[in-house]
Amino acid sequence: MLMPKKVKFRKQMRGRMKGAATRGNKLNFGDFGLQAQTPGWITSRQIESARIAITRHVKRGGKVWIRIFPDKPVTKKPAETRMGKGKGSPEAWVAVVKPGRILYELEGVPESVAKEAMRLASHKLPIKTKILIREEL
Amino acid sequence: MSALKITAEARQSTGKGVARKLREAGRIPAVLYGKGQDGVSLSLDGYELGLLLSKPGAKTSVLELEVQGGGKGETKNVLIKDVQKHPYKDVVLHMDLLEVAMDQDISVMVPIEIVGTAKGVKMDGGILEMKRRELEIVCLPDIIPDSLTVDITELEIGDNIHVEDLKVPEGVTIPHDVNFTILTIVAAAVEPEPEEEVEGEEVEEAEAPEAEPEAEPGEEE
Repeated sequence: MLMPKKVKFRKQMRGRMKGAATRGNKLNFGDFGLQAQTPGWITSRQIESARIAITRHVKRGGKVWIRIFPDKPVTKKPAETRMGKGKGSPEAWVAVVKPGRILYELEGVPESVAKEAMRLASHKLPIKTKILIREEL
Repeated sequence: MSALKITAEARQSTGKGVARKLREAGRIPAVLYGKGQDGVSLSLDGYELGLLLSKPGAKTSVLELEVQGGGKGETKNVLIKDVQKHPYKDVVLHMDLLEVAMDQDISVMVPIEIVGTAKGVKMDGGILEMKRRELEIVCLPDIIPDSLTVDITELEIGDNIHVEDLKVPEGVTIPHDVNFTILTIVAAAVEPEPEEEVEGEEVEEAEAPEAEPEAEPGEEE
């Protein structure tokens, strides 16, 4: 699963997810893409699960790009713990995704296969998505 | 082919508030500039612009822009320099138009069009990997090609197409110093077999063949 090799600080504040993605919102590598339509945190498990869904559907052939990286640690307090006594311990790594962000790109497969692969991947993610196809000439 | 036409209205007021009101009214703010002239703020009809952008080659060909308002109806030769779109809605927010002199060479980005299916893809299951989808060319405005075509039918796995392999129309030059790779045919990466689902079946299958060889020597004895 994707996670940073090392980080400067183990815990982060949650932050806000206002506005749309101003970067990473265009197809740069492949012919097909999956674009976020709502904001959210996507965990490294969800990213990996969606990637597996894509690669299994396209089988042999095709190239997949993952355009997001989970670089934000999310902490959680143990169950049945009283409040206080400091922040919980890191539990997962998430990617902060804003609307417009391209999550995955795909190349080298027919349109019908790519659409189905992206549909399967979208079911693994906690946000609404849209399938993008590169504009024709 | 007759030149594509678009009409625009000159506007005096600028700023994000004005631009938002224009968009609410179905118009798209735009700016026109060119060599040796100040920028002019314009507004375009959203519907007309949508139709124009859907036509093939609209982004690379010279358009006839008719500017209304300000007391004079001028026609100018322009190129679409930039189209700003909403990050996730299919809406044009703003457009840059570049006025061009028809007797001077200009530099434009032209898309690369693939013709045919490569042997390496069709027969050997390779993947066509595009390294560049657009290329800068220099030519007179009236001979800008809609696209640069590349025939890839004879390519096999490991073959590349570079800038110098492209056949460009007469009067068109490619100003690159470096011989960039345009596309390449690569072998498909073999994805490792899925583990989670098949694990149970694999164990059963793996145990069954093991049992047989053990039984066979016993029978021989």
